[in-house]
Amino acid sequence: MEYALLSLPKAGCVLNQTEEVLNRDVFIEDAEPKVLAAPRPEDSLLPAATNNGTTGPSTPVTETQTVTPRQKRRTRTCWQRLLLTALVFVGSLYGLITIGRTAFDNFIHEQEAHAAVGRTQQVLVTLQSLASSLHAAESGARGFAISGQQSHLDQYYGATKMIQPQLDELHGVLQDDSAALKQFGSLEALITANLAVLKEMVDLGNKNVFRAVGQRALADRGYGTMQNTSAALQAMEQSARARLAGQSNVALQHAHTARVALLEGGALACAVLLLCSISVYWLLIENGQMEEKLNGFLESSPDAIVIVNKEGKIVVSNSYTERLLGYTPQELAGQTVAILVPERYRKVCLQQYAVYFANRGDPMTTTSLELSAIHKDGREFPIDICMKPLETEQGILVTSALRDISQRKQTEQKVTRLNEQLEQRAAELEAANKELEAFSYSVSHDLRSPLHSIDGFSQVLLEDYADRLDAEGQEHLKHVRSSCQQMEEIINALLALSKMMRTEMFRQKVDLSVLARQIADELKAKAPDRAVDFVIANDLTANADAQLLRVVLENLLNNAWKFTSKKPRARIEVGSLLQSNGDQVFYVRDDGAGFDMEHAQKLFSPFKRLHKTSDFQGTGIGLATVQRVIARHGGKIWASAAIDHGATFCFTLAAANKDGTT
Amino acid sequence: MNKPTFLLVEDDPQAAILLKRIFKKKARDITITVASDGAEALQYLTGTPTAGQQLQELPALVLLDLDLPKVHGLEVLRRLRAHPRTATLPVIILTSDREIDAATGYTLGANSFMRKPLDFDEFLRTIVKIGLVTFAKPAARSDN
Repeated sequence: MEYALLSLPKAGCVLNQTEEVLNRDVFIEDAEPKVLAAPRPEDSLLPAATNNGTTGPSTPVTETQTVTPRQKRRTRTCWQRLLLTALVFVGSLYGLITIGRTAFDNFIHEQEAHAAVGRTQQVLVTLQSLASSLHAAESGARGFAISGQQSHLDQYYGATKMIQPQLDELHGVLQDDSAALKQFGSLEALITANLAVLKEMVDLGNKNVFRAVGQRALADRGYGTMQNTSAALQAMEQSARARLAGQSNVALQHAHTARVALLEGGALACAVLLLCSISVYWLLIENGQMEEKLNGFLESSPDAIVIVNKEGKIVVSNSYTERLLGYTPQELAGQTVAILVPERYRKVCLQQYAVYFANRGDPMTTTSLELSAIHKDGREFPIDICMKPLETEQGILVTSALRDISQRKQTEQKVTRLNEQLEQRAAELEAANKELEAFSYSVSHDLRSPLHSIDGFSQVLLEDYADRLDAEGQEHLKHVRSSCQQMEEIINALLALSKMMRTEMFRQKVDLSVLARQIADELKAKAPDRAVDFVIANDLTANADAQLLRVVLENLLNNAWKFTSKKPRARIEVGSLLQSNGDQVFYVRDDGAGFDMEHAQKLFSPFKRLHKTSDFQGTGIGLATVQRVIARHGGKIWASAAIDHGATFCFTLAAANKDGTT
Repeated sequence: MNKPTFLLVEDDPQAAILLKRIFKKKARDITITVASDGAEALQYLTGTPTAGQQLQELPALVLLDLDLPKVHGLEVLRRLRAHPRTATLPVIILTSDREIDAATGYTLGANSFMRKPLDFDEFLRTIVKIGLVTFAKPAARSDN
């Protein structure tokens, strides 16, 4: 399957469904929509809520869920992460600035120290020049004084001329050093004195009196001042050298500190750079994974998923969307979501989206709508849209999962149709049943009058015209009457059966033992000459309709009575058993003619008789009536028998606590 | 001598013939008049006489079948009881219908309820029970 995530370049969002953090900048929102359907005014995401579309669905089914705290927590994690990054960044920046500043300061100080060293060295040089100038002047003056040669005088003047500028230079260099200036003051005084002595020597030389007058004393003085001056110069030189050493040390220290600071700064910068690179790399990797995960999630979804921004434009769709709706993800990107639904649903759909963006502060909700979707080829089909907000750093997007529910709808319709059919059938059946009952009732009823007439007139013939009929004729008429009576019985039985089905049932506690004894007594009273032993269990009770149950027992006991009629001494039992499932089974057993079990299934059908009427009288309705009464009670009836070995009829009645009507 | 008259309301002529025969055999004095549907019976008993005719003399007893054309037997009974002339007229419901709710008949004012075909002995017991003078003492009754 082709990768369909076309437009998730850089967007940071918390994807609720995948519980992941995405870090991206922007979803492409400015992609120009390809003109698939011209955007309509109502495609705007803030439609007038009051505008009720006449063709729109009345009220879509809406389910609402509130957002879980987990989603909030995820958002918090994202922010914490950002804050941490910012803090690290600011800290690193502060460190770099501090280090840079230290390096700069030290550099400045080093520069200053270097300048001081330079100055001190200049002092030393000047001091040496001054010393040599003084020596030159002194030897010049002394030579001239002693020899009177002009060359000595030139040396003296040349050297003396140098001294003052050298002193000025020294003064200038020592400007900022008060201790040195003090030394300079005394030095200057000594030099002045020295020069004065030398000048005196020269003057004496000029007069050619040096050698004669006070030559020695002067020479001694000159020597003394020269010694003093030299000592002062040396002292000054020493202090300058000491200063130079200190200044050099300071310069070295500053240089060292600056170097260290630069090294540290470099290292820190490298570290920050490395961290940044790792972070960026990690984010990129994560983004890649995230994108993959999101894509995986989108692609693995069994639904078409469309992510929509607040302009109602589609940002992302998965490839299932293409299968469902015919649009490729590329085609959908930037399109309004309204093109996916038919015209009449657009308002509802867009309103629903608008709700998310309008109520930003409200708890996040999940909404499910049943609408129709429209395929690219114009085909319309029912869908279920499930919308869920998606928190991103750009705000809220809405994911919409679209599911084709055609099949479900079809099934629903089918079920509805089947139900309707079933109801109709049931109604028809009920109507047919009622009609049948009414029919059988009126047939039975209407048959009766003519039957009475036949019987009545036969009787008239037998009574009033007997003398005009021979014995055979009278016999025939008797057969007519006998048939009439038989038919009357059948009709009565049919009416009774129909009555069984129509009368309302009233359940109460019925004592079957008492009922059975009453019926047995009635039977015995009718034929006192028969020898029948009734064995009736005590306390047989059931929750049943007393009248209907009497019909059951009457029929079963009548049968038993009837089919034992050919036995000299018969035995009829009434009792009950408990079935393994707890149901109580009542039975009526006789030791009479029995029947062939092959025909057992005919037993409970109306008019089915297992014996000839000539053998045993009967209408063929009795057991059918019994079966219906039992069925109305929710019970069952069955029989077991063998020819000439009697028959047993068993029946159950539905549980005692069940309510009565059928 | 004023013979008592019974009005038989019966739409089945054969049934009417058979019933009349029974009375002819067993109670010669009683005249049986037959009305073949409910409307005729009501006309006979409560109807306004047309010009020149006298109001029919009321019968001593009405034997009323229920399953009647035009007006149903129970409706006939209801109207008879609602009419001042026939409000207390003895009525015995005669029907082959075992299903009929006898209680409805009694509620509407029937004096008794009998099944077809009529058992004459039972009929005699019934008319004694409802207070009609028995034929065992014919002198005690006649005019109404």
